[in-house]
Parts: sequence; structure tokens; C-alpha cells
Amino acid sequence: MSTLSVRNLTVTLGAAVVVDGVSFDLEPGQRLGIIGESGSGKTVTALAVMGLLAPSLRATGQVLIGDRDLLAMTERQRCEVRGGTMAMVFQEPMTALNPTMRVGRQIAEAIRAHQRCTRAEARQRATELLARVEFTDPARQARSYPHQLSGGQRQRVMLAMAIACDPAVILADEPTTALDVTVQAQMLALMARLVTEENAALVLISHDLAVVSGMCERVMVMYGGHVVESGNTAQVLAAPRHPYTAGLLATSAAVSLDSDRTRLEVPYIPGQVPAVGSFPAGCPFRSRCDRATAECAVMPPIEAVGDHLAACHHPLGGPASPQIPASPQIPADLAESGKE
Amino acid sequence: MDSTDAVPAVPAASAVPAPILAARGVSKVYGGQRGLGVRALADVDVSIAEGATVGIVGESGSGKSTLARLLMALETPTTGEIRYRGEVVSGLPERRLRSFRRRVQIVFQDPMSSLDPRMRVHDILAEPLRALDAGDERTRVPELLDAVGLPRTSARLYPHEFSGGQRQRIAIARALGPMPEVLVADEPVSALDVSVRAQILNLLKRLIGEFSLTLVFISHDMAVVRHLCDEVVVLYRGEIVETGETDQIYARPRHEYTRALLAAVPALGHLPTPPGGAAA
Repeated sequence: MSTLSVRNLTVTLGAAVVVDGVSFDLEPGQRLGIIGESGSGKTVTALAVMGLLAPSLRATGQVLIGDRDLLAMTERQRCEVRGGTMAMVFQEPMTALNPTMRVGRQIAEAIRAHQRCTRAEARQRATELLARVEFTDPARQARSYPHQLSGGQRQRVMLAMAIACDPAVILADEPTTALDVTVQAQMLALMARLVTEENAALVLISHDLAVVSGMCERVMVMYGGHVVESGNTAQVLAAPRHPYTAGLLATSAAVSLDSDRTRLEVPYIPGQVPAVGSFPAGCPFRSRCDRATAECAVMPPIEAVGDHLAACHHPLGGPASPQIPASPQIPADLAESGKE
Repeated sequence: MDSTDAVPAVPAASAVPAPILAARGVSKVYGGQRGLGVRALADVDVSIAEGATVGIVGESGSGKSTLARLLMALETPTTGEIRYRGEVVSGLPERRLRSFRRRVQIVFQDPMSSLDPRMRVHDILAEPLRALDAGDERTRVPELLDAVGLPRTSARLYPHEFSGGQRQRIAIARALGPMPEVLVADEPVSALDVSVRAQILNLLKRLIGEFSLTLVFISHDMAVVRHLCDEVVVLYRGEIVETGETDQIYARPRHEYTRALLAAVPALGHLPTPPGGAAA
């Protein structure tokens, strides 16, 4: 049984479909990256999995933790899961932390919400957790208020809180986007280490292909509420099948530390991401896609194309192959795998 | 200090051209009494040659946006001076900066907060033309929209009717209106989606050539700076730690901080390297 199993998750806002039929499974220790731009539905997917959707949004499908469906639970049951079995790290720690409470106490509070222990024990554990997220003087820093800490430190407090109750799944939504690049590197290394130590499953949401590719062995690319491509990260990056993934990849690769900087024009995806609710019917990418035909007015199913999955009528590198690959677990090296 | 003499408006192609824009010994302290406030910049020298594309890189708190505001004469340095073609512009009253304002324009990071939401695009683009006597708005506004790749019909719309990338095009068109020589861009692509960012980078690169712009590009993004700029200034805690040609600095960074910055850039396929315990 998977740690987390999301089945056909669909989120609607009135008549608009914000997330459409997202499915994935996570085993202990696995790391899944969700790539997408604004309006792709990646954050709403995470919030739905956590049971944190705004009241105006409606989720259907299943979010299975073991054999229990989170979407069928009462709010009280969900509170046990949230912060316990599943924990989330948000993009902006300044708004996620309580500004009026010392950080040590906030962590202790999270512990006592899920575990039976005395206040002193919780406080002691909070200090230990701060040490685990690399605070140099945890006993003193536990007494800080969030505003007294740097952005990177605040995000590490969020991480301490997330691992406080030994979660099976950690969801991190753009956890390093607001950080400086050197602090981001530090935070990513720390997250990778802690997730391994805890043997927790990780869902890392990011707009940055490079961040996900370094952290996650599996990747899901979202556009317009749909999963358009998914599979082993190295395989997806080596031979993207969906034109959107290929476009993102070409753009990222063309402006990097080893790209040809003399070129006047870098490849780009024409147009812009439509507002939520105004994606075209059928394939959401067809309004920006140079391979689109009349056929694309119907949403293609996500199916095996080569060594991974894509939802495209006209995938790059030829049509859908009839066979589903055995298991997308090969720790393939980017440089050598699947250059076609 | 050899460029303090006033130079003619169009310098001859001599051996050592005078910088078009320069900061000399510039410091900026915010708040507090003398020496007690927050020091954002300390004794910074920057010299920008005409036609150069200069990236000013650093992380939050490095002083890069402060330097941009000082170069724009939007603020007065605590010590030192800003010179435009050899003439001091720092500390001048606004009425004496009119020609400077035409020559040096800026594009900010967040086009939603830098465009007046109550003004139509036509008026947003026409305002600097009117204020600076920089041409007939009836002909200039459509030309500017063409230049940045927006349909002319955009002129009738309001900023909120555009996407982030389109708004940044409007902000760039507004900056180009007075035919500036220098364009200062403060993190102009940081708030944009990945797929749109490349479009704006292409636009900037094309406009630099088309309008013979000198570019001062402020960014924390080492890859974007490398793509657009031929020279780089690395700021750390208000001080310049390294400066030079882009190819040289990226291939052989000399300062430890520059090396840490470059190592921390995420690349496809592997985790970035965190700095060796140096980061706060």
C-alpha cells in the first residue's frame, strides 16, 4: 500500500475546473516534483491533498493515506492527519508563522497537537528540532520571534515544524522561491537530508525545473490544471514528449550558466499562461502549441509515450507506444539516457 | 577621478571614452544620526561606458537596488557623487534633472505596482512624453507599442487587463518613450513565469541593439545576467567584491562570494552546492 495515493483529484471553483483528474502514488522515501507556472493548479493540488482548500473550492476524487480517504473525513479527523501524518511547508514563512509567538513555542505547540507530552518535553523537543535544522544556538534561537529571524531561518523553522511529528509525507510548495540563491542551496540540501533521514515521502512544488531535477526522482508537469507529462525525472528531461515540457526545458537550458550567451534570441513559448478558467477546452496548451490540430479540441488521455507518460495527441518523438515501461525507477544519468 | 571634467554631449571615439554614468565613492546610510543608521552601500565606484551592458548582482541586502536608485538620482548618496557624462547629478533639485530624466530611464521588478492602475495604457506611455517634452504622443505611443510587441489597440486598456509579461512590456515601452540613452532595469523578469521570461529577455536584447541603449541590469539571477550583460559588478553587503567582464568572472571568479553565488545556482540534474557555512 502506498503512503499517499491520489486518485482522480479534481477541484472546481463554480463552473471552472482548476485541477482536472490528477493521480499519483508515493511510497516511503520517494520524492515527487510538481512543475508548473502560475495557474497550472499545482498549489491547489497540494492544498487539496492537505485538506486546506478555501470553502469556495470543491474537491472530488480520493486522497488516500493508507486506506483512509482524506476527502471523506470529518474536519476533526483531518486535523489529526495534518501536521501528523502529512505536513506542509509553505512558500512564505512570514505569513505561515505566527508573528506574536516565539518560534520554539510554535514548534512545541505543533508537537502537543499530535503527541501526548508535557509542555517541558515539547519545548525540549522543539530545541532539538531547531538543532536538526541547523540552528547554531537552538536554545537561544527558540526564544526568537519570527521577525527576528532571516528568511532562510524562518523557512528552517517551518521545516522543523513539518518534521516534528515524524510525518510520512511532506508537501513543500515553492519552499525556496522567496530565498536568496545561496540560502536556497542550503535549504534544498537540508530538505534532501531530512527527508532521507525521516524516510518520508516528499512532494516538492516548484516553477523551477532545475530545483526539481536536483531533488526529485519523479516529476509531474502541470499546465492548466492537467498533468501533461510525468515520469522518471531524468527520462522526462532527456526526452520530453509534451511540447509544453519541451518548451520549458529549452527556455531553461538557453539561459543558464553554460548556455551560448551570444545568441540574440532564446527559444520561448509564444503567448502567455491564460487566467484560471480561460484555458481552451480540450488540451489546455493548444492555444500556445505549434503542433496543435483540430484533434486537440478533445483532451488527450495521459498515456505511455516512450519511457514515460504524456497527455498529447502529437507527442514529440513520435506517437504513443503501446507498451507501458516496466518501472520508472532507473536512476538514469541525464547525460546519457535517452538522447534521441 | 580623471573624468571629472565636463565632456561634450557626444564624446568622440577616443582611446578611453568617458563613462556615460558613474558612481564615485558612493555610500548610503539610511536613518539614524551620522554613522548610526543602516549602511546600505559603502564607498562604491562604478563606471558605465556608453553602450555597455552591465549587470549588478547580489542577494537581498547587498545594496543593488539602492545603487540603482542612486544611479537614477532618485535618492541622494550620503557621501560621494553620481555623474552623468561627467556632470554631477546627485543632490540636484528635480527641476535641474529634466534632461537627465530623459536620458536615463528605469524599469522596475513588479509592473503591477509601477503602473498606475487607474490610467489607460495610452496615458501611461504619454505621461513621460508630456512631462519631458519628448515628442508627439499621437505618433509616439503607437510606435512604442510596436517596439515592445503589443497591439496598438492596447492603448485603450488598463494595466489590470494584461498579464504580467504584457505589463512588463508596457513598463519597458514607457521607459523607452523619452528616447533614453541608459536603461536601468531592476529585476525586470524576476516576477514573471518561466515561459514568459524568455520573451522579455529577447525583447530587451533586441531593444538594446535597436535603440543603442546602455543597460544597467540589477538582478540576483546569475544566469539571466550572464545572458544579457557583458560586464558584471558583484555586490556583497554594500560593497563591491568583484567586477569585470562577464566571461572572465563566470569562468574564473576570484572572490569567494562570487564563487559561492555561482555554485548555488541550480542546474538541471543535480543539487546546487550550499556555501560552506557562510550564509546566514
